[in-house]
Amino acid sequence: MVTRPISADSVGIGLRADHCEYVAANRPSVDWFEVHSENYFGRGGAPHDWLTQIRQNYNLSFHGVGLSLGSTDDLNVKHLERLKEIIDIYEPGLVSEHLSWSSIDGIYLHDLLPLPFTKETISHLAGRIGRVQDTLGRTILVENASTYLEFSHSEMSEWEFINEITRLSGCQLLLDINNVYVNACNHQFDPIEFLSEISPSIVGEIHLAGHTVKNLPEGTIRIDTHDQRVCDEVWNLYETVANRFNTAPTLIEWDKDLPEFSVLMDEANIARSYRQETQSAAA
Amino acid sequence: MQLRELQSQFSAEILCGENSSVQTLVEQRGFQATQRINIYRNNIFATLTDTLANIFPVSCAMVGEEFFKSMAQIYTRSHTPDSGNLHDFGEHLPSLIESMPELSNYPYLSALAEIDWACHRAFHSASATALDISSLSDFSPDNYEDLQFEFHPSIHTIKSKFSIFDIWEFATSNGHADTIPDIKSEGQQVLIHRSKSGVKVVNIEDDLFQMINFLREHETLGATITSILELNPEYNLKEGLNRLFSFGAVSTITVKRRFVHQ
Repeated sequence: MVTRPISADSVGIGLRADHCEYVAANRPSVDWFEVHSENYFGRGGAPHDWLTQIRQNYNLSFHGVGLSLGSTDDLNVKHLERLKEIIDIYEPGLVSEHLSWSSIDGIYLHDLLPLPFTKETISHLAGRIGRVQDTLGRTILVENASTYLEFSHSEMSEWEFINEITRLSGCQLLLDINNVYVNACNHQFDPIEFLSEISPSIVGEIHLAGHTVKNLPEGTIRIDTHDQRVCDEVWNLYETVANRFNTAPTLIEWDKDLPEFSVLMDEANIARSYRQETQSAAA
Repeated sequence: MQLRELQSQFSAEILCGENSSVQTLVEQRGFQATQRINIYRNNIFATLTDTLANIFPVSCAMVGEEFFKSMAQIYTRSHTPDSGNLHDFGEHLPSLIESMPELSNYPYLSALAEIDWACHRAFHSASATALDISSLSDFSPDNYEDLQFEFHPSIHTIKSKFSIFDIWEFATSNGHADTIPDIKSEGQQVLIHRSKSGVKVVNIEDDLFQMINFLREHETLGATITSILELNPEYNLKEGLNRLFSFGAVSTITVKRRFVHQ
């Protein structure tokens, strides 16, 4: 096992339990895999057997969903210590979490809940991210979350919030372009403006995923379900910014109603072709 | 509103359905604040219900998805998750099942749910060596009495006053509680273990169940044998030990040090 950084022009795939056997047996041509960190918090068994085997041939990224970075509870030290243990075992190229909260008063709601974009939140989150980075001894990435509501007492835009957190904590952004699009539709802003305000220097990874459009009498809400192909509008955004963010690797995410692995390969190939097109155009 | 207050109120609104002042802070943009908050409530309950259904597949099949879903909602409110790892959620579902009046006609269901939970824990438990019975030959027969066993981390044992293994077998063939054949009155014990081919549930006799309990409490083999023979002088110890090792249940054997008075 050799730990290398995940290269900027690469495209990875989110690895879920149902695909592990296929990947280990067939060694498909995928640049790297991303797993949910908490799926490896158990001490052994099939999850670790498969990941150990797969790690021999692929670089990994650990993507956490349970650290609850934005919570005002004390940082969950036990959770963080277990994360460090599995990082030490598998030596992933990237480690990421979310700009959200999921727990309060010791109760975990297990969703990526929205934060108000205030100076108070920035100061709280930057401190927590700093502590996580100090404990892990590495820079982490934080992902912009999909949200279904915004708070009226927010003092700035989401991109200003992100830029300030990365500046203060020294972390990088895991830029989820699907989430930017979902939020742009749900909260009525221009996704291009969002993306143009994000400095390429802070983007360490790009996520692409599918979402669900829910039509209600009052209007349309987009839900970040990760259960289908990336939609055309998100591909268009990706194509628009692929060259601007060409120092960050891309990942295809799919969590529910998992298709055959070949569908994920297909999505990764589409991402790769957009990258190559924009690179040739730039050259 | 301070962030901590916002989070506490948001959580209470999600879990208890209380109208909180968080609603006044939500940008509506064509929707009511409650509609936007409901999206989160639906996502949260869907995630936690799916998690329980995945961890308790056999119990879910027995009571049916609809009933399981309503039970999962009650459980989520009464036993809110306290870990950032979803795999830790569900430990007390067997107790809830036991206490639900709607399930009083199915008194074996909580033991079934205990087996589901034990299978889930066994699946994620640490890996360890599974010793063969021939490992005993590494020790001098003079030491047999003082041997102590460490069990494989995947090992769980469950005892029920119902024929729980037969019910488990019925349930895993996609049986529903309403079509279950007559429940035998005599109790059964099961052992859950993980081998290379996956997690298995096997039927074990009460003597073996007792033997495992004694050994797990770090009784020596000698003390365990004495206790077991007191319970059942006819018990075939050699066969019991053979079965124990055949499940890959023993991962370490040590000799207990005796204190020597000089």
